[in-house]
Amino acid sequence: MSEFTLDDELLNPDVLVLGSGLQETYLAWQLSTLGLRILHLDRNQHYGGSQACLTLNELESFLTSSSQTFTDATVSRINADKLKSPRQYNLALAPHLIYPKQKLYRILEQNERVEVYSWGVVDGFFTYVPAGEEGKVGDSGVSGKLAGAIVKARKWNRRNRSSVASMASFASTETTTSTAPGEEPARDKDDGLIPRPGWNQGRFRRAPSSEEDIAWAPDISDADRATMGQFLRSTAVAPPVGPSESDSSNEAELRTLLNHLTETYPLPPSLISRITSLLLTHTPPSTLPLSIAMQKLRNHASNLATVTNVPSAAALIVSYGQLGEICQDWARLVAVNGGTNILGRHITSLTQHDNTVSATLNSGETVTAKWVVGSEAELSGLANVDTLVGRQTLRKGIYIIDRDLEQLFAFKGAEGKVQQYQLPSAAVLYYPSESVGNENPILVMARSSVTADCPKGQTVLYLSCLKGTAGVDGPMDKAVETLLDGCEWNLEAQEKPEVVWKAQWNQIVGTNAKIDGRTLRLGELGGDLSVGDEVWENLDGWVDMLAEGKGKREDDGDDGEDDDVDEEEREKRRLEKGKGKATEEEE
Amino acid sequence: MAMHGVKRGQVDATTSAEATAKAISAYNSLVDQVRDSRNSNAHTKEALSLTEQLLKENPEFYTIWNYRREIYSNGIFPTLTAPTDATDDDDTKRAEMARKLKEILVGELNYLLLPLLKKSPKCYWIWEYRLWFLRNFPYKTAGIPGLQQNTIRGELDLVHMMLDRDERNFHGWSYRRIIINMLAKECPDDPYVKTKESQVRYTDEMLRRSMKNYSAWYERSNVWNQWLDEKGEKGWDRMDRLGEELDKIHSAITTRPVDQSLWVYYAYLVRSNTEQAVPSEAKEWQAAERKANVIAPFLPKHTRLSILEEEKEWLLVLLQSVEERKQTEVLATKWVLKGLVEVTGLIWKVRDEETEAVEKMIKEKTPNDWWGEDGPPEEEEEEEEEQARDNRPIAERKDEERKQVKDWLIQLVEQDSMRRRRYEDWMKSLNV
Repeated sequence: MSEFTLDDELLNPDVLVLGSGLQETYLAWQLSTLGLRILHLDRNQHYGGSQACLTLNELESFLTSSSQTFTDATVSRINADKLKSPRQYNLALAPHLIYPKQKLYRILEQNERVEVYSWGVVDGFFTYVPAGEEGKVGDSGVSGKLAGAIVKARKWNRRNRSSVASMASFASTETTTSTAPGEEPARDKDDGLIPRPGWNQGRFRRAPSSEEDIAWAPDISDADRATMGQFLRSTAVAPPVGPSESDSSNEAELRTLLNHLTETYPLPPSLISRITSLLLTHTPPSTLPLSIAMQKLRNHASNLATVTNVPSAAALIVSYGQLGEICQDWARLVAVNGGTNILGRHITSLTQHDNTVSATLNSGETVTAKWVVGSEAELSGLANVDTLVGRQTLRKGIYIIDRDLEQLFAFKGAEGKVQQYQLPSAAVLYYPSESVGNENPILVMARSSVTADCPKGQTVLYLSCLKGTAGVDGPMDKAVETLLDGCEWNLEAQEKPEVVWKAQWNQIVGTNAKIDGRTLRLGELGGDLSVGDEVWENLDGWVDMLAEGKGKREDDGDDGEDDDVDEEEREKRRLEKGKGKATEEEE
Repeated sequence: MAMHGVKRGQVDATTSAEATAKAISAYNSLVDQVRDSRNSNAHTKEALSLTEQLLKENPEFYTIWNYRREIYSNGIFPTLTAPTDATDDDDTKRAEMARKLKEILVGELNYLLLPLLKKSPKCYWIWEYRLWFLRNFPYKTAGIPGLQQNTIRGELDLVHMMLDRDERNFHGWSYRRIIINMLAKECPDDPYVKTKESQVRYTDEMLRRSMKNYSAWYERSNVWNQWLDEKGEKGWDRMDRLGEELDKIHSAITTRPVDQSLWVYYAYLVRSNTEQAVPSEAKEWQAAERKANVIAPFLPKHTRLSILEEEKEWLLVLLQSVEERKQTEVLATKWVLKGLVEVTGLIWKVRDEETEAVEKMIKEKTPNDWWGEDGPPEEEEEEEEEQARDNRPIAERKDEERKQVKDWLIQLVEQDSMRRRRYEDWMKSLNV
């Protein structure tokens, strides 16, 4: 709890913002830019709310403390010896991908925040294919060597050899590297050195994000290649063929993605599941409405090759704190704009008046504001706030692996000096329903130590899955096990990588917002791995509402800084507000 | 950053007319200054710095690049001589000279040219000048061991960086070829240039990233079989390679039938390996590397016919598959039809070869150890498959084929009316 008391001015802000998740900090920031006086509180001793990024100890105590959003948590230090110091871990409650063409990135660009964060690249989207469900051509599941590159028998070449070398070297990442002058060209890695599987063997298949993925994959038949190529191109262009999206009156007639892929584009199940990993959604394809699926695919396709210098990547991630870092940055901007952030404060009661709302803080003061904005976690437990609708419960898990799973982060193209840019530091894996005994699909985001989620030599796996009727913990464990099995490691030196720490919990996601008098109760963000554009549209709408006409918010080109007040003046004002009153920020 | 197929950005229309006029007059006075300087044959540092100012404004002003060359050649390089007399302060003088030269080298390549290149990657003059500088810099005078080699190696990194930014920049590819030749001369033992493997792998990688990269396919068509020649692969191995390469391009085309780069490479593959049994020699005025790039040379007539016929079958299957998708993707059929016409034309050409004369020539020109123990491919007669072999007399077959080709060309005229003259000419030349 903070030491100082709030003075009168702080107790009468324009807007009281409770919670410091992505939505809350966005609102606080935007409103502060318009000149509104903001008092921004968070009950925790950290920023980020449901998007927080926490050290190991913080996460353990957060999960085990009571909350309405995060429940049924289990934490196990499976091999505490192998854990490094807790502060070397930055574990996210909500791991996220950021697409360069999505609204969030544009917001960051327009407000010159992009350079503030450290970015990484996501190049790999994989689907797990259980034994027995492989495609027909050339899939042998043999690990270590690239199988399945069958050269067609040519009538004019009676001495056909099934040549693995050339086709394989073209398609996979393992056999070729480009070298720089002065170096020996690397031998075909197929000769027993640490293989770098393009993860196109064993149980994982790379999701085809680009036409190159389809053309060079050795285990797709030509007919399927043509179909998939066409499908991929269609996602970039027009809305899907079929009943129009406006015809939403009859739920039953809404085509699902699965229908579409099996009927319009006849694709075998193994290839369909490869596409579904790109959707980054927990809803099974059999129930996912086609319009949503196509939108997501279109989003993915349109974001390929938009990352400068990384033509095969589709998405970005933020290192050193993920979304929590963004929340903290935006809270900082609130302070720069004259607002006040205080951690360790929450409200114990809320009273609506005609034109104001008053709230009592846990530290005793009463705050009166024109509006109160709060997240679920901040407002829950209050007598006069009803329950929200639209709940979805995810079972989430974090597994710390004691190994650098470099195969996951290998670039799709060759590695080597030719590539000037960094290797990917995150990958997404998708386990379809039933593949590991799971009722619903499991999404896995793997992040390497480069992201600072964990110390060097380790990897963090973030799992999430819709909570169904049966237990999910077992399937999650199994999913991780298959992943670790699928990693080829140098048998000479090392044993199989192991899980050294694990946490699992239920999390409520995707709740709707509600406006109650002068209280805006924000819903929880959806469970998808990327934040949809509609979130920001809603938020911008609320900014207008909360600002009540004060200040003109421009849609584009918003500087994030109040042009009328320059840095010096703002600093002066802040200092005048209270000598010795620090804005408490967690370091 | 995509450079091809990207619209130009908006021109900033907000600068006032006054500001523009001011900028123009400032520029013009700078030009006058430089011109005066040149007319007075100034080859000094000041002149150099003047040209730098102007070139930063307008790198396309090639005359000024020439002036800069003059300044270096006449004014600056001659002043930089290694101390020849053996005196005590030779070492300091040498070190001083080395430092100066290094400064000039780095300054020119990195501080002046590199940012300009990044900003205007398609400006001929910058690339040309860089090459000139690279070639004419007095490396020996600096007395730094390996300076030239390291500089050239650094250029390779640079050009790779530029190609990362724009994979189809032909300046980049051309520069890369020149640099590799340079490196091959200076450091023939460097593994990167010792064999053509690295270059093949580079095209592998570029094509893995983006199969629409026409420049990479073109490069591949040159270096691939040079590498095969280098490795000493012969006969049946080369036929295997041809099969593999055909597989690759088939996969690519199947995935993306509308891509022109793929079809051009396909046409090259098919034509170069079938049209002539013996690769033509480079003409006198062509570089030695420009001889016809053939993956599988010295194939007998029947083999080449067999290849063409198999390709025709593949194209027919592809045509069917592409026509089924016509609703959503119209353009693909055009490419397949063109391919079919081309392949059929080649079939006629090869069929019409004088068998004996060709056999004789092949026998003469084929190196002795080309086919190894197995001997050359023999005409196979017993390929009994499900479908009966086409045993009709050739004249009859050709008639049918001619009807087919005419039909395809008519379809092409319909689908691609902008190029109807081309297709009509084609009809004439094929005599259908």
